[in-house]
Amino acid sequence: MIIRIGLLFRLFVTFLKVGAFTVGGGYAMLPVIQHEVTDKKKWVDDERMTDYLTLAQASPGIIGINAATAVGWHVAGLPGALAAALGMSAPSVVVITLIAMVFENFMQLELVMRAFKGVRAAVVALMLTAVIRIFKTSVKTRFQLIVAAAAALTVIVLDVKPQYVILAGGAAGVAASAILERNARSCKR
Amino acid sequence: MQTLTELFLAFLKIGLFTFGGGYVMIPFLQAETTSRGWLTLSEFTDIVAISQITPGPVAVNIATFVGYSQGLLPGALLATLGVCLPSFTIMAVLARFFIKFGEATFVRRVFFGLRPAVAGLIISAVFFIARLEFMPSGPVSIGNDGIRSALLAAACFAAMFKFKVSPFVCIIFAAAAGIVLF
Repeated sequence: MIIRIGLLFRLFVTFLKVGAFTVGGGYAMLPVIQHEVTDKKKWVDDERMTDYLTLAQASPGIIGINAATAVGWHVAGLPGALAAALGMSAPSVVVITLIAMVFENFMQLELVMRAFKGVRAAVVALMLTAVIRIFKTSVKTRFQLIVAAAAALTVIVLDVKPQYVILAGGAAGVAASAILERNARSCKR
Repeated sequence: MQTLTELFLAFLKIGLFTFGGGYVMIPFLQAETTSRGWLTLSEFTDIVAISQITPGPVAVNIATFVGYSQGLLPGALLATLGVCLPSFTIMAVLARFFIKFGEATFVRRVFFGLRPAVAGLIISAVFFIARLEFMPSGPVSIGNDGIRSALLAAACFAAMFKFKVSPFVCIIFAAAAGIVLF
């Protein structure tokens, strides 16, 4: 029981760090989560992490909370999921409540504005590293490369909504795997 | 008491029906908060700006802010709980399911296509944010700030990708650099 509480505490603190240090939304959190959970704590390996991050983005709601819940569950079931989700949201609630109390004054802080402009530049870089890492486990075949490119282009150029891309991707995956497996079987004959 | 329930339910709805993360939620949040008279458009825009530059998920920040504005600390907590609950419940179920059936044929087949599709979604998100940061006044004029942003981003990317600098260090460095550069 004591060991368990230690683990829950570590989960809470890990996602507290992620939530406290990431600015700019769910996608920016991905490399931080990868760094903390896969590299440092070794709770989840890269392949399974990609699945969780994929699920986190395919599901409705908040990507960061989704990711935290999935990893937390993987590590320690329901208590783990709770610890992770609470850790992730705690910094938000604390910081924002404090700021909301002094709202007008915060907006005047030019230094803060400039610092965060720098942080937003870092966020672009962060997201790029996440993409590259996810690419390694998500895009291994030519078909998958086409799906990734198609997904990116339909959103950028055609303004298609994410949920349609997700549905199409899943369906394409099922269809393509079925076709590939059938071809493989017929080759063996 | 009624405001608190309304807050919880409004954010529950948003958390349940939005796909694609915080930025996608913004138009829905705007509709919900302004139509109920909770915020003016200009107040909402300020809150979004602050939520984007404060730690944590954007949607959670906005929920806490709006919740506080309508119902102080209880409001903040209930709004946040509302927006997080769908995420938590759905993902808890999916994670449990995944641990049991993650290697099942059908699941692998779906993920064979889902993984790259999601990778593509992230690429589109990078594109939009990069464009916003590096070319804020439109595609034609890049401007001084945009170029500095891009160079800072390139430096951060090199640091993390080539030199394995941790994301935390990078963010702190970028914040300091921002004060100097902009």
